[in-house]
Amino acid sequence: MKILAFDTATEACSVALLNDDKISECYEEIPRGHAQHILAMCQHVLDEQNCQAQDIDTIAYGAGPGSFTGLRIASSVAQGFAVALNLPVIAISSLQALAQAAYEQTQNASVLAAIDARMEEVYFSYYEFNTDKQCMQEVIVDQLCAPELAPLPDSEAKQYCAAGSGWHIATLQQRFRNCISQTIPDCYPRASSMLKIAEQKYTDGDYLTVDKIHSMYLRDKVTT
Amino acid sequence: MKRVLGIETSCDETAIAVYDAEQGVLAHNIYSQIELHRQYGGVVPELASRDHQQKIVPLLLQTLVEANINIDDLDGVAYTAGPGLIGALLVGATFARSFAFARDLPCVGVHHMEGHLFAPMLEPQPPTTPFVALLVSGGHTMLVKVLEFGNYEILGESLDDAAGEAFDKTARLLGLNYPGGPEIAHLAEQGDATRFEFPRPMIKRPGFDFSFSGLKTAAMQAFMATEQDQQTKADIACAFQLAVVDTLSLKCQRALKATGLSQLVIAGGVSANQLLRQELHKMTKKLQAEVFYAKPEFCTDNAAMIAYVGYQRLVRGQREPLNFNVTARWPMSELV
Ligand SMILES: Nc1ncnc2c1ncn2[C@@H]1O[C@H](COP(=O)(O)OP(=O)(O)O)[C@@H](O)[C@H]1O
Repeated sequence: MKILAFDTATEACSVALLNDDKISECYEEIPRGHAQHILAMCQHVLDEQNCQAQDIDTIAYGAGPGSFTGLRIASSVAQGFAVALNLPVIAISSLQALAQAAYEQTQNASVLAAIDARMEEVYFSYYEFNTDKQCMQEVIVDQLCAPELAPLPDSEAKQYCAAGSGWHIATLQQRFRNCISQTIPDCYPRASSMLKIAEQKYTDGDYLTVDKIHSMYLRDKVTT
Repeated sequence: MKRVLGIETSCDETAIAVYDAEQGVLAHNIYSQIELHRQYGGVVPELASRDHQQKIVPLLLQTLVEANINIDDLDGVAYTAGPGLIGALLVGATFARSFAFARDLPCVGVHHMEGHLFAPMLEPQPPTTPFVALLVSGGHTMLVKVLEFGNYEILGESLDDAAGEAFDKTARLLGLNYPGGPEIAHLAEQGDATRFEFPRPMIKRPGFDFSFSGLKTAAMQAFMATEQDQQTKADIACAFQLAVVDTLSLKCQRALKATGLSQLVIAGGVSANQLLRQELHKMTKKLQAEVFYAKPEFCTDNAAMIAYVGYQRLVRGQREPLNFNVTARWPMSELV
């Protein structure tokens, strides 16, 4: 099984290739210019595993939420590959990818994922490690909200890992201070973390045909 | 190199075409976002980008069906790399470059105005280089000496508004819809050409530069001084169109004489204007020269012209590297 995964939803730009049980990854944090880097990164991971684009079985892309331009870069690459190679495509939430990256880094099974959405809002969700699926699964749906309105957990018994750029925002930190054991604001979604999710989704038949590729902007009000 | 896929997403049209070196344009499609943006009174860049992303795949698949070819039959890919809206350009470029990468096809970025410049090459009786070209669109007005493909000398350009822009602004003044060019041309048919006389800007000055903002102001002042009734609107449209056409024609004549060339190519949205075509026919006839233009659907934004120019660049060995880029502002003079 060969899966090519990539994500450009945040400052992080990354590509990973799963080649049966071997993984190659390119990961860089760059403010912009993701479009200029992503294909060279694809080439790099393919070369490293002695693979060709034609060998890929499926692709997984970071579908958002995140930077609008970033989301379009990832979904345009996904469209390009999917049309060219007639591949099924797996859309992965950037918050899920972030939660998975946080889990892999900290082993904390409960993650509050938050990405700074600018304009005093955050992209926000809860994720929990699912032992059957062997990856992070959403507890509530990804949402766009003001930090002071982000939904609090039902009980304060559980301690979470707070991951993502959203946790640089003081209001958000303050609101969740009683249920956070660990904060990693510099954690980003990354392609290698998406591979586990992609494998599971592929097994579940949760993939898209090329005409269904889209971005999950969450913010749809773009005019004043 | 035989068949090239062309992708155009520089502004508010998503367009896809397949050009074949032997058979010409096999198929092309244009999806216009005009309706999407109308309620905002102009193109909203973020909405344009989102819409390009949704339309590009279905439009490509439809175009391949209409061209009666498979993806395997494509030999190269060309996309508009600028000038235009950065986000909109990025959608087409990223898709095109990724598609080419996945299929290991050569790929090249194309200058949108170079596309317009060569759109008349897609006609049954195309011009041959060298020729003089008048590029008249919503964003550009320029006279170019085309020595051969890739070798251009800019003779002159607009110092302020582009001709199409002047049409659009004057149309808005008269309460007409966007794009204003066709609306003005239509209304002018009912106009009295003798009621108003507008200046022919810069015709007394030597050289090949243009200026249309004064003409737009003259139209506005004339309009404000009247009852602003329907007949007046038609009369102003008529006088305005005449002044633009006269000015363009005169500069073209001057350029033909100065270069000693006998072929004139007109391209870009305004080249669809019937009066302009008529006047240029008359003018070139007197000089024993000839005028060439594209069919109406290839005068405005389309992907056939991008595929054609892409083909020309690909056969000359040009390739876009993996770290492709798009450019919002890209003067023709920087084209190499
Ligand atoms: N029949 C016409 N007469 C005059 N202007 C026209 C006509 N048809 C289109 N136009 C003008 O052409 C311009 C659009 O041309 P296009 O080549 O698409 O421009 P751009 O790519 O620079 O936006 C608009 O300004 C429009 O008003």
